[in-house]
Amino acid sequence: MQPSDKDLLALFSDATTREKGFTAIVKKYQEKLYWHIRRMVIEHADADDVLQNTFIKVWKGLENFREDSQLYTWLYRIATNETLSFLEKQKRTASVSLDEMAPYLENKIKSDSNFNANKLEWRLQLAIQELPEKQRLVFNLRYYDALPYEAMSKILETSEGALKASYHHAAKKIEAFLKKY
Amino acid sequence: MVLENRLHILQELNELAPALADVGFDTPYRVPEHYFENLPSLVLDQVSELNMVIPSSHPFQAPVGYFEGLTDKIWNRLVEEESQLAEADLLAENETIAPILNSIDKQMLYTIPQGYFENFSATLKIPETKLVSFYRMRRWMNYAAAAIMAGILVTSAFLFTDKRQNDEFEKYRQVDISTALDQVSEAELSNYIENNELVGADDWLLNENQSIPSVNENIKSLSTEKLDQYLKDNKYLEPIDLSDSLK
Repeated sequence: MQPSDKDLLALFSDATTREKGFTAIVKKYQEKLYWHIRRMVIEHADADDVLQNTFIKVWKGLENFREDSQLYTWLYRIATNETLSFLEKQKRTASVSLDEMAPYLENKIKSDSNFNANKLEWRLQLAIQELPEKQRLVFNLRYYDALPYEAMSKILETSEGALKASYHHAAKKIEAFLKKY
Repeated sequence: MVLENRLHILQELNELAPALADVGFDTPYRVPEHYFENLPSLVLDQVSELNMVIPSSHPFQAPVGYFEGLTDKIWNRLVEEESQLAEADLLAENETIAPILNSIDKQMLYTIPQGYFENFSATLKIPETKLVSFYRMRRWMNYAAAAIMAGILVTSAFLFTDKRQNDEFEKYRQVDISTALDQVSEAELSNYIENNELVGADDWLLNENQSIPSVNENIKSLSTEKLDQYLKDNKYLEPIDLSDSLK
């Protein structure tokens, strides 16, 4: 069984077991955070960069983590912020405008070696990339991670009502896209 | 002896309740057949059960490691149930908004390099823990103290002047504050820190990457209101309009 967050934080707070505690936290959350990031940035190399940056931030900030929120909420928030920063930087580096982001990401999806336009699952990925960034985040957290709105509210620092509306709109748009294509 | 007692009791009964004397001494209740013959062995069996010692080994056994693994099993079940509830909640939501979403396999299609997750934590470059020495922090506090002290010193110089000293003000304006500060010793700065509150110094202390604010800029940032307050607190100084000088 995976150790509890409380145990991991206790390991980390002790200087003699800090690295052991941190490694255990990484192992416990790496896959969840990786996929959360990868669904936004698409390419593995980019997801790897963002994931590493996320855990570096975790290492630096964990000492001051006040445990007034759940550990996984805090980790998701860092990963989300790092992802958004990365996408912002990518837009600037690639000189891609907001309108060009969707086709830019679409090309990345299509360039995946396993891409198959006939499969509904791949068309779903294309549909998701059509959404604005924040809406994409909301959709992914709800649809793939099945997070309750309360948890999402803490991660994205947005009201539950706004998140429900956002998910509703996102789902409708995706449905329309899938019916069209 | 028994017969004597019986006679005595009969006599007593005849005097008290003659009708009872005619009843006789036989009890009408019946007991099961062989009851009394079996009674001793029945009693002995029950006594044996009470005194029975439970053997250290008993026929029932729990699987090896059962209890060690029980907590994990219960925890995993709780997590699984919570996950199933969340999934059910999502399915119901999708059914009302976009039912097609419930028909799509959620397995991630993107490929990842083999062994990526197994090796990830080992490849993570943990930054070395920086030891922020107290001395280093005190140097930042010193710079902060120096900047504020310089601002007050120069402002005091402005305020102390009369018309003749106004000429000297011009001279002060030309002064290189940084060079002047270099002449203030560490001991004097430390003493100033201990005796004065440094407003805003905490911000500088927290962000060691932030550059030291320019002393000249600090002087310019002193408002007329602050200067007026300073005059009120130091009544021996004459108020002078410095609005032009401080531009």
